Amino acid sequence: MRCRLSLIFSLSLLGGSLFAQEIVMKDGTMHKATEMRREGQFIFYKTLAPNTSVTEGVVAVAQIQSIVFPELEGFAEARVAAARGHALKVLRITEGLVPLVRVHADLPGNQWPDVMRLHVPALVAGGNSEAVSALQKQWVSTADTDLDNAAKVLFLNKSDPEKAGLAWAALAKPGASSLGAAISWLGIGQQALESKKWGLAIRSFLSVELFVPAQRLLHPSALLGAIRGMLGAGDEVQARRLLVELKSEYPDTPEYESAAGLLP
Amino acid sequence: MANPRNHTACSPCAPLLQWPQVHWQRPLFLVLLVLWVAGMLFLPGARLLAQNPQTSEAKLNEVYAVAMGAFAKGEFQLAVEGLQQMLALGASGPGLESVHFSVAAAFYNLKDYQKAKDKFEAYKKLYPNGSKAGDAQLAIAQCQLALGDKEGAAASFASLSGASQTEQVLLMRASLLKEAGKPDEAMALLEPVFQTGLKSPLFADAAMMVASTEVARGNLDRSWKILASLHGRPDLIEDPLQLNSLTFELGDAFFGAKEYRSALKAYALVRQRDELLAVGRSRLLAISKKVDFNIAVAKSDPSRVVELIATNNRLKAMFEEGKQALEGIEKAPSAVGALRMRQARCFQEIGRLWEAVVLFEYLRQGGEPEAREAALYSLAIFHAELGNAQEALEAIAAFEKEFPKSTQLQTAIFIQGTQLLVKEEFTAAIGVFAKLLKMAPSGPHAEASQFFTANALFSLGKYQDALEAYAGYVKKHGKGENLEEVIYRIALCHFFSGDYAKAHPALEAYLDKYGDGLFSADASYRVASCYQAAKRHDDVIQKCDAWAAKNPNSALLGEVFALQGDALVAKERRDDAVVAYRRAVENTSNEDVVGYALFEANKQLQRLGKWAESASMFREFLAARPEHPAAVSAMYWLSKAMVKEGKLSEAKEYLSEQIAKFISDRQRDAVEQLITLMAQFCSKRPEQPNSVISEPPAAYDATVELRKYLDAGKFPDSAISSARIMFAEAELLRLLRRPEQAVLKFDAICEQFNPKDLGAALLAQCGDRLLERGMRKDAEKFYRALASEFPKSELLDYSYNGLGQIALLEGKAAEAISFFEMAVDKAGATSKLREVTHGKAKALLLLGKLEEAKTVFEQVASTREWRGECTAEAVFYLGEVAFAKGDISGAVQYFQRVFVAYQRYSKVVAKAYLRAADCFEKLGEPEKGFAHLREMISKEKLAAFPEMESAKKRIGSEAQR
Repeated sequence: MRCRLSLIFSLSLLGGSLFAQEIVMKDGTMHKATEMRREGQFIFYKTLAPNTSVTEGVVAVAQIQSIVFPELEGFAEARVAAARGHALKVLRITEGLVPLVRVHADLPGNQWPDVMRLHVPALVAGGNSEAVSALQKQWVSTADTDLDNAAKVLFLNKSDPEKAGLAWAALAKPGASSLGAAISWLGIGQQALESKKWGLAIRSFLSVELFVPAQRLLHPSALLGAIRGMLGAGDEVQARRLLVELKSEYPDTPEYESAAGLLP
Repeated sequence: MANPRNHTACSPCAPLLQWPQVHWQRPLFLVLLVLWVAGMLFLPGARLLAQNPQTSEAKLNEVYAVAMGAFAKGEFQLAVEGLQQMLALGASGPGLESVHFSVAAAFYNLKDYQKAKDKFEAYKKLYPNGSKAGDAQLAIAQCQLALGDKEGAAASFASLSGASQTEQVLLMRASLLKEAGKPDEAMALLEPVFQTGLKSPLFADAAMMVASTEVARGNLDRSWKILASLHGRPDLIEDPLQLNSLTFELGDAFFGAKEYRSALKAYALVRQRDELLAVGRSRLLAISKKVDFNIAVAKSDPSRVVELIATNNRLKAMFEEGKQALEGIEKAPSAVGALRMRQARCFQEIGRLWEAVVLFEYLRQGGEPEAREAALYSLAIFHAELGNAQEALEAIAAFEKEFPKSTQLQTAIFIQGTQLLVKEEFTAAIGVFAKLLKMAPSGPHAEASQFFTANALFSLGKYQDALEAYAGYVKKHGKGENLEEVIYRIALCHFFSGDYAKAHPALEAYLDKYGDGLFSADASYRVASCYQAAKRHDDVIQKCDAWAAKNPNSALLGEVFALQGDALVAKERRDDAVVAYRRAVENTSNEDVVGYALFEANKQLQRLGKWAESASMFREFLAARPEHPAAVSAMYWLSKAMVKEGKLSEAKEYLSEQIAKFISDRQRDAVEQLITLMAQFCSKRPEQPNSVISEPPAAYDATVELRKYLDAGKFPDSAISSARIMFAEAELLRLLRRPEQAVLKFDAICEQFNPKDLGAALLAQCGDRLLERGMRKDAEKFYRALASEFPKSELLDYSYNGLGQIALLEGKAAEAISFFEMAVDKAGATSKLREVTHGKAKALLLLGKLEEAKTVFEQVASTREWRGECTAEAVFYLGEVAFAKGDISGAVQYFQRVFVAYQRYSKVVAKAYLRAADCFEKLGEPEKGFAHLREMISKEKLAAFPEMESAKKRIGSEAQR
């Protein structure tokens, strides 16, 4: 049996709540665990008895119906940062959470998809090559097809640009609203900028804003790309109007700073 | 819920949408009932007693237990039968209260609301202060609601007191109030619930109702805040379609209030159908799993059976509701098109046209015709506004093809015309406007179409046609909004036609009528130009001064000073002319005016011998405008001025520095000019100072001198640098009168370098050289590279001329004419006007257009500035024209004129002799022809030409005869 990372959730890490997670078994019983440790296909846990003494228990993963994990530290803050387009801030938080949630990624109720929903777009917007490689090495499916496809595109962008191009063409269909489509449009837009195909660049970047409104982490770079395209096409008027939008929605982002520099 | 189709802000193409009914009822009541009943069974003292002594207590309890057991299992009909049996058996006692209540509850769960209501009312009558009187009242209210008696239900809900006024009850009351058109009362009930926050789906429902009420009341911002927070809690939303439709409605409300940014934020939250279905299915799956889980738990822990059955019944009810909601979503037509249309309109209103374009391009690909029509039409407009003329035209072409009967067709065609004007496709634009005027001679675009047609003719230089068109406009639209411009353009038509006699009064008439009109400054300037044409130079000078005083900041100031300079030159007031020209340079940003004025000033300074001032002027110019297209020419003249000042070495140093800066830059096509100048400077030995005249002059090697200043090692290593250095060497050889070596050197450039490596000047010269050598294919490559890579070069006419000459040699006369015309129209034919004109004449002759050809040949022959071989050729071809027309005598005269007057041009002379002989033969005077041939053979200069062989053969044959 492969050794799994043994990780302990302790009260000190989780802010001192009475219990950290609820382990709901298939037979309906529930264990409120203050600490939980994974050892292969078993979970060892500690729980507080009514007389405040600590008891220990162990359950088989196969018998678990679901685990209700507590809110991850910093995750709410990461969500707020994501809504504001602060990719680097999101990454600072999610990079610390990835190993925590990765351990239980196969358990029902696990938080791996939730963290990946922020981490993947944050990597697209602000991650470096090493961070992408690190994620790729430990990637497991989130059971969310859109999210899994998006991760594949992210990895291809780094490892196989030619295949990435094919993926972009497949995903970036008119009106598509998936994260994978958004990542593809960013790639197509960047290529178009480099080839000075301004019309294609503008359309691709704006497609992220228009058709994938929920992925706000990607919007600052999309809007900046569109501004570059507009300036390349000689349309300063439209570029300035878009700059107003960028300032209004994502004022504290490096993308806004860059755009403001292009349009003094 | 609002129907988007009826929204005033929507285009008529918004599809009809049916929104599902909102159900605010919840099945929670059932849970309370079951638990209470279960509790009652175990209440001490709640005994059921038999009134009929024949019926034992045990029997009653047994019937009761069976009935309640059936109730717990959801077998409500059995429960009703059992409970009614109990009543029939004459049960009595405190426990009867629960029986009466349970019967009512069972009817309720069987959805027999009338019977349920009757039974609950009966219960209340029997037990007015019963422990479940409140629940019964609540149940009555729900029955009334189910039976459609909303008024009764509202009253019943309102009459509930104390703890019975749960959040759910408040929600129901609020819903009824809202439906009754009493939103303020509804809000008063909901606010306390809402203020406690989003704790559960019930609170989320309350929040949605508040949001909906706020929309109705026009408090859109508050509604937005609520909906935005709801969208952040998908876990609490049990009917996502309802939230979706409410969000859509809010977006429409913002749109109607012209708050477009807010509308866009709301629309951005609206989920697509696929997303809603996914969320719905996911929720149903979760409920289903929960049900299965509860069943599994119940099996392992029988003590929880009742509780879990009740929970599962509730979950099943939720599942059914969810399933219905899902079916509603599946059946509802997709709202994506309507959503995108609204978003596009919002972006349009806030001027973010590219977003609107992307959305309309998306809609264009959709299937709905109404949406496609609106999309194509809008794309035409937006692309036109964005300056994407080609894309606008494509959209209009598609629109016209697909929707030929659209009510917007006329406007679309009008836009088509305007975009063709933007692209300077004037002839096509005229055709489009003509089509529109034919379609709708009095339509909304008729006036503008007529105006633009006239303008297009003006732009084509067809001033007579433009005059007619403008006159037509004035006649039809005497009070049109473009009248002032039309009147002015009429004057300009005369002006640009060179008819100053008509232009002047027309301009004065405009100024009289419009005083300080839009074009007054320009008109005054043109008036001065008319005086210049009439050689009234004093008036011109005065008028220019007056104009400058009146319009000190006008963009035309430079042109006015340049005109004044011309007038001053004509008056031989050269110093004043220099001042005027220099003022022109300082007061214009027009590059053509700068170039003209600068070099005109220089001409005058040259004539005045003021080299120092010339040098100073060019230095100032280069310091102020180092990147100006005329910069390299300025360097050229500066260097010449320095030489004139006796500063030859300085001039060479200066040239060397400047050449080094630009020698690797393909785009600088005047570098060759500097190189030629350097070669000139190096070709002559520098003058010896007087003190050393008596000594023998030191040996002077021009090539060494050139290499000193053009040292390849000092320049960046590039193809263009190498080519230019070879060019310098070729120029030097030419200046040193070694033409064969010069030609060889130049040929090496043509052979060693790719067209993409060379600048405009070398491309032009290589093309000509290769054409001269008969290497047409290679020449064509150089000419085409010149046209494609240097479309704004002053040497562009080399390209069109060269391509025209090639076409002519290949017998493609029409193509040749097209190139020659482009040389004039597009490139100005500054360098190759003679060749182009002559070439066009030959092409016309080839096409058999004899009269036209004759006119042009006469023009070539009579143009003094073009005197040379082409004059001889022109005369020769006039002979060919006469011959073709059958005027053989006339042809003879032309041919004879060639070999009499143009003996220098042996190639043409040889042909002329032969053709003269042909003419005489045709005239039946062969002896005269042979006389000419004999004369021809006697000319040694003609020996190398192929015509000589023909002549000898003909004489030989005659001799044999």
